[in-house]
Amino acid sequence: MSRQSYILRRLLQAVVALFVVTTIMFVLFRIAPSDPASVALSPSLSPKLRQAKLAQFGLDKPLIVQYKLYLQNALALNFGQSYFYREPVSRILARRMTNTFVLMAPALLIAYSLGTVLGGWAAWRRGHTPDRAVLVAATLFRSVPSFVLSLVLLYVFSFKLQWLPNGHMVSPTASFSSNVQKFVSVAFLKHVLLPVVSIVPFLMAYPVLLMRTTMLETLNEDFITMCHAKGLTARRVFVDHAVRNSLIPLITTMPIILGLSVTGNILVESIYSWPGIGSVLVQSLLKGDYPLSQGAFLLIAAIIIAGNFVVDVVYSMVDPRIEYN
Amino acid sequence: MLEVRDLRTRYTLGEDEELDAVDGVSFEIGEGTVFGLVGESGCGKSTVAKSIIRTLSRNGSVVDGEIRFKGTDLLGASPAELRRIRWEEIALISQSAMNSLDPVYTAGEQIREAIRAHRDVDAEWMDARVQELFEVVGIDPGRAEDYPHQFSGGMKQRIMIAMSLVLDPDLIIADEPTTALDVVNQDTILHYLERLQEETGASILLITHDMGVVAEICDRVGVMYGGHLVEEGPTLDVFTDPIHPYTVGLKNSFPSLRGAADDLITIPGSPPDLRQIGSQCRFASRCPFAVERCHREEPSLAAYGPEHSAACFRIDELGEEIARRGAERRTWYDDAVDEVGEQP
Amino acid sequence: MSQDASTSTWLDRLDVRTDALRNAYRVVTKTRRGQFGLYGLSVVLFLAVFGPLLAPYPPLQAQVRPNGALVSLAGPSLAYPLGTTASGYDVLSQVLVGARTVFVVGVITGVVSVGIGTTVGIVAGYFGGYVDDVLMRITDIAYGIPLLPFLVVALTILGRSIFAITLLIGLLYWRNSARVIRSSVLSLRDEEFIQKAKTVGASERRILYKQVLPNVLPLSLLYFAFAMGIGVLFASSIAFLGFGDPSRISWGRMIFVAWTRAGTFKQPLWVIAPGAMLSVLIASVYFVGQTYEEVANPELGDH
Repeated sequence: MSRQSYILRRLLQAVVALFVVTTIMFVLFRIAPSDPASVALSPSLSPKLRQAKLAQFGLDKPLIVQYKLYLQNALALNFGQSYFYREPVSRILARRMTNTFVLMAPALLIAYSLGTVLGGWAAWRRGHTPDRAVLVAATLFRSVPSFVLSLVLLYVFSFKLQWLPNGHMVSPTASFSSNVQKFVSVAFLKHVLLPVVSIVPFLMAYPVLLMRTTMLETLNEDFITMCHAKGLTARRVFVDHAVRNSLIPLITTMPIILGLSVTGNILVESIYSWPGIGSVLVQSLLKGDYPLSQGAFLLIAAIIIAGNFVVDVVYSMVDPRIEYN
Repeated sequence: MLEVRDLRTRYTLGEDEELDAVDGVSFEIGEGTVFGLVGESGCGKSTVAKSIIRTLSRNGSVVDGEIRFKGTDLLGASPAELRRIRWEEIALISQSAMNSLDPVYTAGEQIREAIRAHRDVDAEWMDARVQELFEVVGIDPGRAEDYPHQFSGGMKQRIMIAMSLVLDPDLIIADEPTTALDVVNQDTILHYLERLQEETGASILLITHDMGVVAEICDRVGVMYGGHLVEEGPTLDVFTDPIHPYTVGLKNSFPSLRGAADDLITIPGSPPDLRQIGSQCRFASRCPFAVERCHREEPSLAAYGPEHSAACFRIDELGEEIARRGAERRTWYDDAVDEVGEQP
Repeated sequence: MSQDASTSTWLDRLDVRTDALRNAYRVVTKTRRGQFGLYGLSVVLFLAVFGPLLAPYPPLQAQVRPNGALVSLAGPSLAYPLGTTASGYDVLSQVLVGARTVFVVGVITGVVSVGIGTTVGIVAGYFGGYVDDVLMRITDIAYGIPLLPFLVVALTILGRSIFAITLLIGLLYWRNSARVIRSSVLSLRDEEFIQKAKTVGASERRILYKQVLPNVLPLSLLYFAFAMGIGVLFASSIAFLGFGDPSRISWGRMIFVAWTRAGTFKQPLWVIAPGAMLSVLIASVYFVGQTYEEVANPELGDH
């Protein structure tokens, strides 16, 4: 099978997954014990007005029709109006997506690169103290919940030492000439530091352990012995051959990290009042703003599914041995 | 060319368990000679090879003995010196050609890498050399930039041979070069090895469990069992007039060297557990000629012909009788003592 | 291990099982990390069982001083070793009582995740073909659903009970173990003893129970450890976000209350105590799992 049909199949799978998730969302919100619209509508409305409002939200039609409408709207990226913000959901999410991105992209980058390097180092110093230390550290990073770490960091650096702000992306009173200006400003950097530091350890743990494990397995391969027999220096064997072969699993397990980053992201955004997608998901659920919740959830799911797909494509280009089956 | 004296290599296995996979092995390989090291799996022959170029695994180490290559002490050589000697002077053809090439680099790249590690030459020279070598081993030079997985097993083995020749080494260690191949490819590979040896004048240390392979191209042969060298000499002598009971048994178990197949024997029993062996002849428990002394002392190599030696206490007494009686089935199945495995 | 059930007595089988346990114990205690993990787990287990009995005060009893004032946000003292919450509850008591909820949630999530995962893995791996395809498609889709968002949405809709939490985590998290178990079964399927059982005419159900399951069990147990860690992590995370079961005290919920009552910084022990306990529990479970894995795959160890 050629690479093209492999990619096409993966694409199809991604679309199906997206479809299933969308349907699950629809079902979940329709089986909610309380009529979601009632939450937003004041109980003092007359039955006639109430009926009109329901019609406005399209909630008076039979389920199948609602489903069809729902799908059509979803395709057009129309998720309705937020009950509380009185704005189209898509606009709110678009705004917040950038904020989440400027937080998560650096965090993921740092976590992955630091993690890979540490894992490689642990494998290089196999059996000695650095290796053991890295193993313990990585486990601790996975075990301390990121919200606990965030609170500790906030306590030390924001409350006690007063070095860093205690939340938000920029201080409410600041103004900037453009978005780009905003994101490179010192103020922004001060605000983004703690959230990133809170989430990186959790994201880093898996790459560290994976890199270490993969390296150790690779180092046992016959071609590594052959490289030594060829008279290559230990360093060259390690970097050119061992590391090179160990990077591939790191790519294929990206989806796992992506999944974890969603979790970390929601927690960290909530604690630091970071105006991103994670925090809006939680807030909208707590307030009963269902259109916004749906939109946020679907956006996150779409990102995950798309991320999985991109990883599959990248992997197919990187490994010369891939068999498409 | 290569002198191995009293080599002892030890493996540590987990909880304080050790075994000496090679226990006092000595032999010499002259210039331009093909020396075969033959024995059952687990007898230590591969370990000998790895000890020479020091590619033992993490839990293995040479604990005694001397290895001299063209006069240089290999065991005491510095890491830098060792790296220089590797490939430039001693090359390795490994038994698992399937896995001896890095899957993410092309064949040509890996050969060039070997050159770059030792010589400072320009790209043209390297490319020319790669093409030349591919032709020598009979693979289309246009495929030099293909990846290992695109070659068949036999071709990969030939690439290994090509790669081993790239710096004109004086000694090639071929560790079971044909084991993983089918019979047709085996023949081809041996054929190449022989031709190359004649053309380049390199010495070859050929390690195998297949007596037939040894008979084909080796000038001299050493028979190993349980970490010991039990017989050594010119191939013809060892094969036509084996002295040691084990060699005699081996000879009589290979169809290519005997007539009718129903005269074949198998040596009952199995190799000893080297973790618990004491000082004794390693073959004693399976040997039909063993006496009490064989279980108490280790015999050493003694000469019985101009260049032919064997390690056995009973040779002086029995001499040619060993070869004669060893050819009969009855010797092995009625007289075998101690740990007899399965009766046929 | 492959004794025919009809010939061995239940005593024999018990023997085999304790043997396996003793083996597992020996394996896990090989590294200091494994030992630490076992200690940690035992401590939390102990608290889970005896915690409520050891608590000096009822966890939801507002503590008042002799003069009637509420002991709110007090620091550590002899009377209240870990201080009190904003509402005057004793933090130590809450930690002790909360242990049970956290531990039970962890265990049940682990069991559900790995239970479903092992079943799916075995069925997909053993029967192959169409069944395998369908099950793997479902697994792929399960992978596409992000766990925490799904949990918070589902809990909002279905109500925040502890049963819902444990079930929902298990409902998605089986996907990890399913894949791994399936590969293991695939390689097992072609092994000799399965073929032998088939030729003897053993029913498939019997083969699955007697041959496949015991061989896959160690892997399942390993994944149970990791699933339990994840279960505790996620359960405490959703409790922290406010989606936990309000009728039960748990360490995650304690931190939620502290955070929303702005008590974090005035009485850090209110957060640090449950936070540390959570970390210890999760780390312990991971250490145990890691060590077990290293023994099965010696190259992974640091020896």
